[in-house]
Amino acid sequence: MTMRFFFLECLQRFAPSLLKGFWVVVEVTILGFIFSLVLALLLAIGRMSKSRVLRGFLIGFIELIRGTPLLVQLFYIYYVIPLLINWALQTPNAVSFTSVFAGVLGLGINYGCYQSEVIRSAILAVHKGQWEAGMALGFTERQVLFRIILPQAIHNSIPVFGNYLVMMVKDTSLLSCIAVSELLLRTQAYASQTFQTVESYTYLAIAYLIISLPLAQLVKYIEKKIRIA
Amino acid sequence: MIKPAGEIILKIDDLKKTFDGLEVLKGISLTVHSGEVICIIGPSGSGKSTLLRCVNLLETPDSHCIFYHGEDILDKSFNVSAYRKKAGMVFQSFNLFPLKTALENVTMGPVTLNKLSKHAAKEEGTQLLNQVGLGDKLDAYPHTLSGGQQQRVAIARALAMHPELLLFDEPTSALDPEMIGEVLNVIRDLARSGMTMLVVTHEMGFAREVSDRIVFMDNGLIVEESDPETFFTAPETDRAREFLSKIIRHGPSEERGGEEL
Repeated sequence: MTMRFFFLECLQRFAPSLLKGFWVVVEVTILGFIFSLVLALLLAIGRMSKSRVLRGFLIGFIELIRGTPLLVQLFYIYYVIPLLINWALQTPNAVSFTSVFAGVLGLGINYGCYQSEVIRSAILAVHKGQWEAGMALGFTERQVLFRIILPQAIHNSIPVFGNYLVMMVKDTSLLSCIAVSELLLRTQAYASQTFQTVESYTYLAIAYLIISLPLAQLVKYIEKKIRIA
Repeated sequence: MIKPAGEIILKIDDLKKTFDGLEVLKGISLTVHSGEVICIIGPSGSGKSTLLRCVNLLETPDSHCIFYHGEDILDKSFNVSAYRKKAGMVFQSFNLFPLKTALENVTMGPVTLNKLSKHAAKEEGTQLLNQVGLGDKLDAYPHTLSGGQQQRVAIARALAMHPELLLFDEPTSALDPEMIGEVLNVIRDLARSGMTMLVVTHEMGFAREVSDRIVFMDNGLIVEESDPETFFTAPETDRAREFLSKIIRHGPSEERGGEEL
């Protein structure tokens, strides 16, 4: 038996579904990434708190997230957290997460923890003289942090954030495991119905490239643009 | 020649500062009057910069020993931020804010801390940058400026807070020789305008010219304190004589930046 491929036919039949999955990926990435940046900032600032308890709690949380796989976290958020909430509230079946909500939450928390470390090290990397110059002008420590140090730390982190963004696009494929109808899940469904496995998965890979390659170029461009001596 | 003394702005009484068991300042007493220009000189490691940083509370002295208009600046109830607005500081390494233009560097303090309107702050900032010879660099970012230009922006930034006292921590030590003159000229103009200043410097010609008083420090102590003429022509202590002879032997600073002794 010779194997024959139907790339053109596959494209015609699969394209509408693929396109929908494409927009799901875009949506989940944008929401997840914004959430991750906000969380990263809060975690980084929280870790500079004077409260030892808060600092310890945040370090524990970050290590917990960094020490477990994203896929496991997604399952945990999607299946376990609603159960725990219902158990705590004694309200069986009252709370459940949609898969997109759980996916955005999972990506945001996971990436937020990694990126908080980026911001934190960027804060520590800002020259001590910047603190002193701010204090000497009469700014309080808090004002110096928020008005002088953080803007520089964030500015210097932008290239790294960009890399995380590209990684997140690719990691959205894990969301197929919690039933988010993104690219991979749609491809699996299509392939199992049509047996056009080679064709559909090839188009899947191309779809990811269409997002991630230009994005990577954009990141490079921004990196070049913002580099200040 | 010592100017008639104005009111006492700052009184330092037996200032000691220890870092990890190492006593860097071993009991400094110094009184600063309004309008006075005091140059602090001495070999590296003598504690000059630490003294200045203690005055601005960037370092905390070991005990309550600094008084600003009679107020204990280390008292818990003392408003340190308000005090720092009045005691401006210029650093050896400029420390301009890199993401802000020259003008923004100058206006940031007044707008945020003195609640000056953006418009008024810009106007004053422009005037200050003109005063330091950088009227054409308002929108330049620090990394595009030379060291001398950056330091002049830093001086304008300090002036924008209308300080009562300016602290200069080796303002020309990080500069290429040809840029020292332009910065010293700005500081010299300030001195003539009656600004009260404490200047840590290695520029002997400059110190001799602008100071009302020279404070010579060595090993954490003030070894000699006198008017510049006496200090440079007839130093009283062996340590000062030795220091001056070394400086002169190794090329006097006045050859740099067009300084004249």
